[in-house]
Amino acid sequence: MLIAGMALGLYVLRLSGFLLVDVRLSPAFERGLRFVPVAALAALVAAGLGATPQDAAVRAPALAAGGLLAWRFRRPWVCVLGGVGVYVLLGALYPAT
Amino acid sequence: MADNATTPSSTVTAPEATFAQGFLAMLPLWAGAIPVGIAFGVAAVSSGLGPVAAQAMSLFVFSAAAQLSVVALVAGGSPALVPLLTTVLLNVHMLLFGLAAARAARPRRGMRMLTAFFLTDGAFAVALGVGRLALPALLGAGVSMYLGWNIGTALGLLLGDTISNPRRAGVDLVAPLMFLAVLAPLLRGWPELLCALLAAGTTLCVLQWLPGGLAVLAGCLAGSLTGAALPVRGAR
Repeated sequence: MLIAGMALGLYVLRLSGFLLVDVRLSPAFERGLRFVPVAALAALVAAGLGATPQDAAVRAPALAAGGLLAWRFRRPWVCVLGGVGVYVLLGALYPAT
Repeated sequence: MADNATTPSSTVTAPEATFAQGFLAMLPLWAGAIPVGIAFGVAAVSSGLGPVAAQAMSLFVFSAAAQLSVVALVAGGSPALVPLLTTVLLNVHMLLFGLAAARAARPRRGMRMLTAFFLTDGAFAVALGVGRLALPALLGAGVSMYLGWNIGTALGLLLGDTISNPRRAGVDLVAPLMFLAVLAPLLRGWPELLCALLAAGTTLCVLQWLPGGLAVLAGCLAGSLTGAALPVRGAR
């Protein structure tokens, strides 16, 4: 019952945006929608930092390194490997964090 | 004659090729999805959820954040309403993602209903990375993530607690790093940079008090409303 409720609630939520597509929107809202991808990705990266300062202390340098590599090389795998590498290295150097 | 014969077929295969692009582009994220899926499977069993219920959750709910939270809540003995509300709150930003995707692609009703099921943060980001936001790419990326997530869950249920904490290997950083890799080329000018900074800052602030989905939604709204308020390029 719990799983059915979760599945239904989440599906309705996921579908609602697709169903609202035919609603007429103001030009300002349309302009705002064009920025949703950039805003969404930035928000998701920020959420990936973690909710606590302890999490962020290790994750921020890893994400910063990944960001630099993404900007310099424009290759997703370079960004991912570099970021995870920094994270693992920091975890080994400072196990308490 | 040969041109006449090939043109229709190339038109028909275009969405399939885009689907395949989305599917393949998602594969690097499996490196994060499978270990986290394993962690979910292990946690679900140890919380008393049961293997059939855990796999059913991955098959029908398909949301890592919601599922992991629910396992913790079930283990803590929460009433059923709390996990349901948590699921909605952690995914409320999907409304905005669906709207943006549908606005860019204008899909048919059947395609909307199918794609909606597979809409996740990762699929949205990967579809953006493939090129102009296209529904087949979003669907391909979503199906790919669905497979990875369910394989991970099944492995977790099979392996039980024989594996150590996968977070130590940084697997839960793979998704944010992929998002970053997709975001970097989109930052083409100061309006995009300003939107990204405001979205990230707002998310970090809101995350201190509210669940992840609401924080991401607040960040999305802050960034996109800023974009809407900025002067239009080329306008005097």
